[in-house]
Amino acid sequence: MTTHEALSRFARATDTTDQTAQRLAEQLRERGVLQVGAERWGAVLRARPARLPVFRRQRIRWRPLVAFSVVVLLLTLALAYLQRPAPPLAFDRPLSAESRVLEQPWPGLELDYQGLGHLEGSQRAATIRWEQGRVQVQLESPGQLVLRTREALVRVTGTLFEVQRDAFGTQVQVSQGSVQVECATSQRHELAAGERASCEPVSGPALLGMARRLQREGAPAARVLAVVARAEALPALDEPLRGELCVVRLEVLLAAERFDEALATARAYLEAGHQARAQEIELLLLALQERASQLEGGTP
Amino acid sequence: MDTDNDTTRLVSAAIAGEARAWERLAQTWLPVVHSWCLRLGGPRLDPGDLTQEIFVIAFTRLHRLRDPQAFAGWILGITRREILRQGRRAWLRRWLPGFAVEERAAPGGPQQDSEQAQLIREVQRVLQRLPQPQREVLVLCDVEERTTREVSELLGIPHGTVRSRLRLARARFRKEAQGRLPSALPADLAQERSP
Repeated sequence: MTTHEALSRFARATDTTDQTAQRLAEQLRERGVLQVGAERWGAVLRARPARLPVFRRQRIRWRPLVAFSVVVLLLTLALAYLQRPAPPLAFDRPLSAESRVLEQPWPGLELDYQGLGHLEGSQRAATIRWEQGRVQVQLESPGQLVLRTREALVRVTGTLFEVQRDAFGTQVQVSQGSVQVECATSQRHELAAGERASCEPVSGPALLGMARRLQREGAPAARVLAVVARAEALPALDEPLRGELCVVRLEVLLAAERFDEALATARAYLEAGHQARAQEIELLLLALQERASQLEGGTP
Repeated sequence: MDTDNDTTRLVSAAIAGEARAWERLAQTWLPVVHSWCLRLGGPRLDPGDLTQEIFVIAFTRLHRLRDPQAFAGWILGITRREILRQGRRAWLRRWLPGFAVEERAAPGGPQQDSEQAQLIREVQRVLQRLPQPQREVLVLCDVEERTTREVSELLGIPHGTVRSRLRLARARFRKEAQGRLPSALPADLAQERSP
């Protein structure tokens, strides 16, 4: 078959038959476009300007609307792009120094520290986790800076302050501005310039360290024993720590020549069945009992 | 089809308000417009619906026609625009869920032999691959066997433009038809008819 023949056959096959034309005319008649419409048509034309509300379609000018919407969208996107905030600098690095270091992670924040810690977060919201030593923070630019130790959470509101962490816990001293300090013991302090606050240790090992430090520095027995008592009151205290605390308590009592209390402490400890440092405490108990019997017998 | 003079007289009478003139005019031109829809619209458009839409538009706008002699070109213009509009709508429906547009069965339906139905569908598909101006000229000249002069007046474009479009359309049709129409020969299309 040639293409000419194909087109000719196509022409013959697509010629509209009389039946199809009649069917279409019927459909148009049903829609009122032929008979009914023709009668109406004359009346409408005679009363020009002719407008046929029945069949008139409302034309919506889409192109200007679409063009206007696109222009508005593009302008909005361009403005948003131009006014976008600069991405904040991100930090995640340790702070570690044997000797004093002055550092400026970003303009407006100055750290003067000696010890161990970690700086993380971004310029908008940064956190310093301070482990040990002294750190002085000076913040001038707006932003959220939080300094955490095991005992304290210090929220910075634009200020100059110093945090010291050692065996006695965390001490905060404010030089300029104000800070809010939350201790792990739920105590809260609002510190103004010139004020200081301290958050004492809360964990068993930290309290033991504090008690030993107080003992070494010759603090009054009552103060040391209070710290030991706080540690002993902690729930789920492990056996070695309990033994160490008992030894500290006994040492303090003996140094204060409170032998009866020491004897009672050692006896109670052993009777409770504790194993840690039990041999030393047992020897101490024997020595204390011998001394007591000598005193009862009149032998000095 | 009525002669051009009859059409002109009917259009003038319809515009003047003669009650039966419009109906006769419509009945005269219904088969022509329906054939245009079938040949130019492609397999995805329903020529019946399309024809009705065109006559509704023609009915509401006839009073705007200033020159009754230009009725053929005027209604062909409405047909072309409506085919484009419905084609866009059909294209859009293809991408909307639940509005899939199926190809219609070839005209004639089951009673027509399957070879002819296949041929019609393939010719429609090949025609759809042609650009619209070339498709119109090819259908009017080679399918409806009008002269290039007539087509020039119908489309309202220069005679030379019709000839060049026809030449391009035939070449394109041959290229697109290769392998689709059975035993199609490359250079056998009818020679351009002189005006």
